[in-house]
Amino acid sequence: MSFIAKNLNFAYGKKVVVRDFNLELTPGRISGIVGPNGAGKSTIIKLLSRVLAPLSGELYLDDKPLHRISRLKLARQLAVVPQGGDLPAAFSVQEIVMMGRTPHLGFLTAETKTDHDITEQAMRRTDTWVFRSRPVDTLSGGERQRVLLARALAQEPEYLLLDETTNHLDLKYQLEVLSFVRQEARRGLAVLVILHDLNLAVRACDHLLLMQQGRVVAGGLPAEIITEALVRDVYQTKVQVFKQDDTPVILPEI
Amino acid sequence: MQTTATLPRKRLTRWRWTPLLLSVFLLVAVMVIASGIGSVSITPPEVLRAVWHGLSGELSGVSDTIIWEIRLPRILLAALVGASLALAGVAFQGLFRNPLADPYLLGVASGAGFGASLVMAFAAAIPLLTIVGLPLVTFVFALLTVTLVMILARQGHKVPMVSLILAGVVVGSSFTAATSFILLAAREQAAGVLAWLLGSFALASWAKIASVLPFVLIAGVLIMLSSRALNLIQLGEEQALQLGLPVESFKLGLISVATLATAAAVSVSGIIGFVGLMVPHAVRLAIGPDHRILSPMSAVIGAVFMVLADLFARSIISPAELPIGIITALVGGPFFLYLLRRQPQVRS
Repeated sequence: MSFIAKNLNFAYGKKVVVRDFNLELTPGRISGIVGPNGAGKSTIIKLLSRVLAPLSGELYLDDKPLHRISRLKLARQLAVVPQGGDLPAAFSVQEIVMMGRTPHLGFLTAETKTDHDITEQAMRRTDTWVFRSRPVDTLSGGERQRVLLARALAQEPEYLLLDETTNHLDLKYQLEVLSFVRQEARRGLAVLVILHDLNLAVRACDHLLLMQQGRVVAGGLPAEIITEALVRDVYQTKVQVFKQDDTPVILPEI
Repeated sequence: MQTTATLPRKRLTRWRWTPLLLSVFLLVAVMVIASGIGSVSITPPEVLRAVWHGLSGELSGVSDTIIWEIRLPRILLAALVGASLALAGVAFQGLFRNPLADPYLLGVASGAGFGASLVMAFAAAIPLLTIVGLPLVTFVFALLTVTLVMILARQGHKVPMVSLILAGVVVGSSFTAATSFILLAAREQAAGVLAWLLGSFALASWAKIASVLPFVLIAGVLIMLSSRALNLIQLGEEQALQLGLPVESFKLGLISVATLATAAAVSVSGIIGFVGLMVPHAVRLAIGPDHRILSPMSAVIGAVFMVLADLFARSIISPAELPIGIITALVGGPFFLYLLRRQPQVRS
């Protein structure tokens, strides 16, 4: 069981945004991608979830080429928590989370008690159950983000991709989401997170890729790849990196 | 814990379908009352008796004939057309995530009108062609219009709200101009075509009902079956794809279906604007954005609205009649302006 990306390339017009990207997602492991703005991180999520088709390269889900799997079937195995974009006004939290059941229900079947139970669980676990009947346009950025996480959980995926999910969250929920993802990984979920905060990334991920202008410039165990020289190089900024209990701590110099 | 958790959900589900049920009752009541109003007043019990007689094929007396042969076909046709246009409006608004999209503003109705005028003006002498050709040609031109509008409105990968409406207006007016040319070219048929074009149910008959019913039913069922997919579309295309919806093929399919619903309506009643805009919008304000209830509810309210508008059209300057398109435009124009002012993204 694994999700494999081999030599992916992608460009918007002539602007190359992803070059020779390789990745393997396996159950129980949290992989992370970090990198400055414009490094191509979000494009990776779009390629892996088949929103965009790569110009070249291959994608395999459990040894099956991704483009040979129907979208509905893919959505049963792979869920994306998008960057806290806009949600359609007037739908309630509960209705949005229930949309996560679509891959299992199809487009015609009515939802059953099981679907209600699964969505309720997803909402309880993301602390969104209390405001389940509120329209989503009245929520804060962080609340919306947790609703999107609940929807992804309602999909009961084997692979979970989080696109800068922690951006809109305060420190408490950032850590909660990441420890939550850790729990899910222990239960066998394969996770890919895109993160902005390097310190969070080195703590949360088992495997880290550092991207710059569409290229992976370093990949491996967070403690091994994050060095002062590399961060300075990629982010064009001065940092100190020191270790605490073998985990690197990145301290920007202001 | 479990009981408090399940209670509000059940109440919510039960409550959901109540407005739909009430509006169906409203529709039946409005149809019965409207059947009684006209140059000869007929009471609701008499109306119901006439319908019973008609169904069992034993018409007796003048009022039976008035109801069964004249008023009922007209009212049923108005209801069908209203439901059809409202459903097309729901589908277009949902697909384009644009509350201003409607078959009239998108130019689809004008394109369909051109196709129908073409058949009426030049093929009126050949009855067979009219019966088979009218819905077909209307549909083809409606599809052609919607394709043109989408090509014109597209900017890169997006179809911005304003450019969609502008493209619709431009393509629509071109077809309206072409229709005017037909009217000039085929003078003998001009009066008839014009009367039909402005929208009227005066020539309603059971035959006309039979000719549109299949299309309206097919389109209606397909649009209602698309409800969950339409809900997903509201999340934006990217999220809809990630939740398993093949967005492109779904869009193409449903645009064709909504166009079919429009063409069917236009082929029997001419161009009646703003119904597809107003009805879904008003219903959405009242019961929320879930298409599973929004679509059927809009169909029913669209039917109610059209029956009332037609009642108004035939009784306000009786014995003469107003074209119904004028009435819906009088109500719909201000409503459109109101919507336009409420959409910040349209003004900016």
